[in-house]
Amino acid sequence: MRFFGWTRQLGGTAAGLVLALALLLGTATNAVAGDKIYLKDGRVIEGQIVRELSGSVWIDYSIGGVSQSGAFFAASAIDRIERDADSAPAGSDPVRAAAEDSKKLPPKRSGVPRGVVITLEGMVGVQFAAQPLHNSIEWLEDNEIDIVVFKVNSGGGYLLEIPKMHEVIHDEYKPRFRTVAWIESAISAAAMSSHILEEIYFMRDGNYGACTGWSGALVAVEGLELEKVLYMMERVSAQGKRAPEIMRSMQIEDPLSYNRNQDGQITWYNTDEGQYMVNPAGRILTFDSAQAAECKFSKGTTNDLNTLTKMLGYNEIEWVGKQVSGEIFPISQPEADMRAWREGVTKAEERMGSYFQKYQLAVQNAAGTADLKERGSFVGLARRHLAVIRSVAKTYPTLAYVNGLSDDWFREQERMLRDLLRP
Amino acid sequence: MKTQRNRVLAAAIAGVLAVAGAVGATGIGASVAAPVAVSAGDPPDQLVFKDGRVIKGRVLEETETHVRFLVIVAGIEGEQTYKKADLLAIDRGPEDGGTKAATVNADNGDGADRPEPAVDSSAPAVYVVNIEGYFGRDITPTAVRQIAKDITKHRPQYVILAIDNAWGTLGGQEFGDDVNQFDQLWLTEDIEPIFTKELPETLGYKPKYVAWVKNAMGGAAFLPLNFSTIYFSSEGRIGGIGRLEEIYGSTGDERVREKQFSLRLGHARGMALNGGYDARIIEAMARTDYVLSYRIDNGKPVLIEGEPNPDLNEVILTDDGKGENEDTIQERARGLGNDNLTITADIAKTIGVSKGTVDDLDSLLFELEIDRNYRLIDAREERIREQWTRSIENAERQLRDLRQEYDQIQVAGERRERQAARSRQIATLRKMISILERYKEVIGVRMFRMPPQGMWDVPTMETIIEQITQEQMKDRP
Repeated sequence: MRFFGWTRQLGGTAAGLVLALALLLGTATNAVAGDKIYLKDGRVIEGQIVRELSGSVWIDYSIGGVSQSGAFFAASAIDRIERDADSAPAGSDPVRAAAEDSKKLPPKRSGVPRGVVITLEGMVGVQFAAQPLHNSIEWLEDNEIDIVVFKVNSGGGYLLEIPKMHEVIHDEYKPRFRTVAWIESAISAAAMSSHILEEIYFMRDGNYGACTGWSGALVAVEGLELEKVLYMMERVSAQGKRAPEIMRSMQIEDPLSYNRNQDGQITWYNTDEGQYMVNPAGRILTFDSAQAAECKFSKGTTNDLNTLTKMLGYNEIEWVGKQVSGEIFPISQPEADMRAWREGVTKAEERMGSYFQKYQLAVQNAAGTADLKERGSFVGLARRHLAVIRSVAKTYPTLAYVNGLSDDWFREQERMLRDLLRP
Repeated sequence: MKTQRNRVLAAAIAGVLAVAGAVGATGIGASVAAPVAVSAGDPPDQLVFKDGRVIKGRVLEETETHVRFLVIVAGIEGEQTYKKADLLAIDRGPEDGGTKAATVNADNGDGADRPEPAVDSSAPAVYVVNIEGYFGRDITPTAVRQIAKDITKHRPQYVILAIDNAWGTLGGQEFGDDVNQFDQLWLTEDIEPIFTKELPETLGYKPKYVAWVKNAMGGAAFLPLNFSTIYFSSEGRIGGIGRLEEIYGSTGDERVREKQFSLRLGHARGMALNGGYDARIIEAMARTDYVLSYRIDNGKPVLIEGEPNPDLNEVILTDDGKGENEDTIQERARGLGNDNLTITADIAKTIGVSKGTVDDLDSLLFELEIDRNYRLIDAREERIREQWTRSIENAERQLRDLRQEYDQIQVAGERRERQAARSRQIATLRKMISILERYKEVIGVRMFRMPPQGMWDVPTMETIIEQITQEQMKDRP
């Protein structure tokens, strides 16, 4: 199912809204949570549902002040479930402990810099976002981090997130840490976000470019909007200390070539006059690792953190975090937080249309019944779904923005629901 | 829920004791393990039963119907086999390099599943993976991952990927060389790291990979290029990714179409660079207007972008496909065109993609210089592949039945009957959701046969469940 195409079709009007479910697994339980399970034997269990699977649930609740953690109730025993207004349906994954690296690190060893690797993955503006990077600054400073490597693997995303990425990288990260990009795949908005970094390294199968803006059925951004983006990236190229011609050839079909003098200095052209042709006219540029190294766009190519350490000019870097099998770098707290962010927003996206439909159904059922008591039940249900939507909008501002979930819209829904309760 | 927890613990211990005490117990191998090594840290996996019981331990093997599980309770381990029909979920924990692996009993009567002891260098172990069937259906990350688990058990020095994928429709109609399945690249990007990253990480060493190409078309074309050692069979070919510029037809603006081509080629070129090949081969395979030639300098092939210079004995590989250069339909039908590069055995040898042409395993092993001293692993990969394919077929059948069942449920009669009917509707929808989620990697590439009356996607079905639930709310006495 093409969520993002569907999302864009719905647009930003009240009629075209979609909802998302904010779900951050492993977060602290809410002591006053009010999820209710109505059992077929007549009992009602009130607590916080921590896991759901095929209709069966696990719930934290208390009996006579004694906590019961993760009590299981099979689907066959459950009549219905009512969820607390502020809670969201639990996921089906097991609840896992939070990352163990939140405590401050011991002092650095003399002469050995500290580094972290943070992955930027998923859709720009959704999973790949400025907000979690901003949130990690404090931890990075408290733990005396010197080097931050952004390992990029993304196929692009929303244009509106790019300036936010530039701002957080250029204004918050670069003044504090040596900040570099390590490219696995940076396409479109991902490349444009990374372009503000002066140091870019590639993985062997890395790719970078294809930055043409578009929407809908492959319709290009044109006219004034295009000029604005071209200009934005000219300025970003200057901040990243690289020739503007390179990004231009990634955005529009200008050719790209270069000369190299005896000192190895490179002069770029958006024509074919250079000695070395990188991108012919009529094409859009995407670098591979060999091309990027050849023209010194990248400072080196490696799949290995130890080699990257050497390329950064160090014999040793204390790469902070927990070693995890299958990972080529240790997982630090900022990286764990980034993964939690991605997981939460991904779950929200996956349920987006479903929750909007559930809200609409509740409103329709409320509007369609003459019985006041029944209408009240449906309005209550609609309010619970609306609360979930509001929670998502607050947690994921970009999702809210692209789906038109403004304060005005929420106010309008509340007014409508109040009106429905009138006799 | 003390009672709940006591039941869980009691059941787990009972399971361990049953393993420890009984020979020939139902569902368990012929001989049983005495309780053995203590595991460090929390057991990574757990089984969740339909009655709410949770047993912690480690999944040893999973088939279509059963799970063989190492139960770990208070440091005591024992093997038990459970029916999947009794399970709600199999929770697999994250791999943790710090956790010590439990010692598996030495005599469980099932030699095929026993990890192989380390092989000394005089008898290298060879594991052959047959990459056969339809890419995206029979060849998927899930199937490959299961095969990788089997490879891990045997710890081979050599892994031979014998690539011979089906090239045609599910109905059996064969494709020509000029059919484009470039976008199967994304599937290859999910499969390739299982071999190049996950498996070496799990093994603790990188085996020698050899790609043996019999038919590598569409998405399968990208796979061998990730490996530095490729051999071809005489009839072998790599292709099926040509005419990239036609995949969007005339949809949208040309600039955006070019962007789409560019990003795809960027990804694909990366794979070729991974294997140490000239990335321009990808351009020649994909873009019709890309002109590539070659010459031989001191016995080594040199690729040249552009028309060949006959004075330098340069030879055309692909022309620009325009005007009189355009392949005729006769050439296209016979796979003899040169608008796009299809790498045959001869071309592969000439341009340095393959190290040689062999038509049987013995000849390949001879080329690898291990023919006199090797050990061919009695692998389960064929059984794994067959099980996976069968599971897809079963799932397709089950989904068809469930869809029909759903359509036949009537919400009518007394309130109790209506409630029961709605419950059945919800249960049927949940079962269908479970199937769609399990096979989403096959469904995503349209290799899953859907019921003839059509199928909703998962979010739509969840909305339908909500609709039914709200109908239930309205239907009160």
